[in-house]
Amino acid sequence: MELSDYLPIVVFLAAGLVVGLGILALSKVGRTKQNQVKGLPYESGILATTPVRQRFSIDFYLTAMLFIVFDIELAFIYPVAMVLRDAGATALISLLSFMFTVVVALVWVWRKGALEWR
Amino acid sequence: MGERITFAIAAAVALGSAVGVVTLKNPFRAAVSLIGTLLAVAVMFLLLAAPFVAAIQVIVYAGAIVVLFLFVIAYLGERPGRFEHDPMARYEVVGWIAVIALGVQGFIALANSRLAGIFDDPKATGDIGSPRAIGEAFTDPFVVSFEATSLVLLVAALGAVLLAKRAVLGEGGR
Amino acid sequence: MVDEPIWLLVVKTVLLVFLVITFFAYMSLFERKLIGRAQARYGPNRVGPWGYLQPLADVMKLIFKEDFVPQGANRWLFQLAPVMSLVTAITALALIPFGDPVNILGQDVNLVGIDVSIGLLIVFALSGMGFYGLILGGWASGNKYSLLGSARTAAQLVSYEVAMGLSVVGVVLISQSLSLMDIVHKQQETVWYIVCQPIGFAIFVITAVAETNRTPFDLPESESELVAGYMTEYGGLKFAMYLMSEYINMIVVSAIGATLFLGGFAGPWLPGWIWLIIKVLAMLFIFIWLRATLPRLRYDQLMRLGWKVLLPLATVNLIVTAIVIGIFFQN
Repeated sequence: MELSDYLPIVVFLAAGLVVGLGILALSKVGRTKQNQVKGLPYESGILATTPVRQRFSIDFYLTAMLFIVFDIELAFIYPVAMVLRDAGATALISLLSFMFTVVVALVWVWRKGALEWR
Repeated sequence: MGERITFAIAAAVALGSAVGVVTLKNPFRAAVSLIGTLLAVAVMFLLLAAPFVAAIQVIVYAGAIVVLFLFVIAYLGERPGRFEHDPMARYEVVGWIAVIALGVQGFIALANSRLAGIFDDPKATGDIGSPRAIGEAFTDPFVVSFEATSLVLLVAALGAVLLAKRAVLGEGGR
Repeated sequence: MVDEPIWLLVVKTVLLVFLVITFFAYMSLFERKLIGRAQARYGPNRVGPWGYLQPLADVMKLIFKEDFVPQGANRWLFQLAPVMSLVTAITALALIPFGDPVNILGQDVNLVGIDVSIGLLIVFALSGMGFYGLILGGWASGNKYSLLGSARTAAQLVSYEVAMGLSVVGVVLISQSLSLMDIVHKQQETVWYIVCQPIGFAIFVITAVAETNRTPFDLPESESELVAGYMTEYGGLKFAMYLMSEYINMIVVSAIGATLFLGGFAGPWLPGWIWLIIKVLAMLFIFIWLRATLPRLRYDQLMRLGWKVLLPLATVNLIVTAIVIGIFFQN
């Protein structure tokens, strides 16, 4: 492979930046008038009572952690999936035993109730 | 030439955002700054003719792991640091000296080495970085490592669930 | 892929981006018309005949909206987050293959922005980067609804990303490639992969709806509980940028789905790019139809569907496909 193969993606990135920053610049057209009340965060018409940044549930952490586990699984499966038709029975067996372990993890996590959103 | 320019830009971005990660006071912003470093490293993998690793670097590191960091920060709440007086602060000078010494040392070592790519432009030899090459490596020489990875993933899942359970119990349920 | 000079690449890029943005404007009109019909009303029909100038009127309105940044917001991030969303959406357009190279006035032209051995992975990488536009926008707004909305968005996108990734492994197994061009060519030689991967296609469509935050998975902007989720504090053109990136993402994901499962630009008689556009329109019609038909899920239902239905189903689909391919279709 050549590095220049990836040039188009840089061109598209630049096009996206031009469009995005262009629209941002366009949004400055027209008058802006700030006042004390207008700048308050939207709160369904009442004054905010608690601070904005509050602690989040541990479920978000758990979701992200399981996401990483299955994302890495995917990263390992893609290349093996590509060569499965060429590589013969050993590749199939190794892929299946890999999947077996991952399924064990999934079942265990499921039975521990970690997939439950409370 | 194009590769050298790309490398220079990627290295500058990686270093710049890494400095941001350690100097920004707000943990959320520091985590966002980390995305820059990880993306720049992905570009370097591309330079090393390892496109598959570059893509995985973006998907797993810049994608999944930074999201995890953001959720951990959100779980802990963005409160200011607990230590008013950092007991390690008096050693700051030593730290700077070590950083400068390491930099000088690294520069001298690289300038005197005959590593490929410093004074010449080597070409990639053979295909070891494409998805197909990596798949072939997984099915033949590295099949044991491939299987071991699934065990690591299993342990990671167990660890995450047990830690989350303990965190919930430690706070008296929900 | 044929070699082409850089000016041609730039011209192609500008043309495609311009066409997609125009298409976005008319897609929003099409959607409002269709949903109007589904709800026994007419939809927009005042601005120009059949309302076809409506998008133009909307744009003019949005331009002259006040440029507003709330007090508690992080000024820079608040304004740049929608740009980030839009940039990743537009960059993903580079991956869509519209056809084999053609010769226009003696110049060979690729009908695809970029075709590399990791094409499919770049799509996933870009969608992963697109998440940050939403997360950072919600966080930078300095508003409770925005923050909650962005956290929910992140958890939802992350959950469905896994199922989506697994649903396309079947295609990779059969086609032995991650390059979108190769996948289309393989389908030209054999059959459209929807025939051998119907479950994979179903999971892909469901997760695609969730990844683009569309009804019934539009939890991030559930107006009855979170006002507008991460977009609560956004207005004017910054809001329009989020809307635009949502629609461009829909176009991209439809095109990728069409490429992976419906043969992409493969088809008889007509030129390839027309076939691709027909297939993309069909998928977009499904998106809008779903919005008109289904009520929104509750958040725990959404997570249960992602983790307890789609993920196991995609895993089983992968294992069965691998066994069938590995035993009966060895090269």
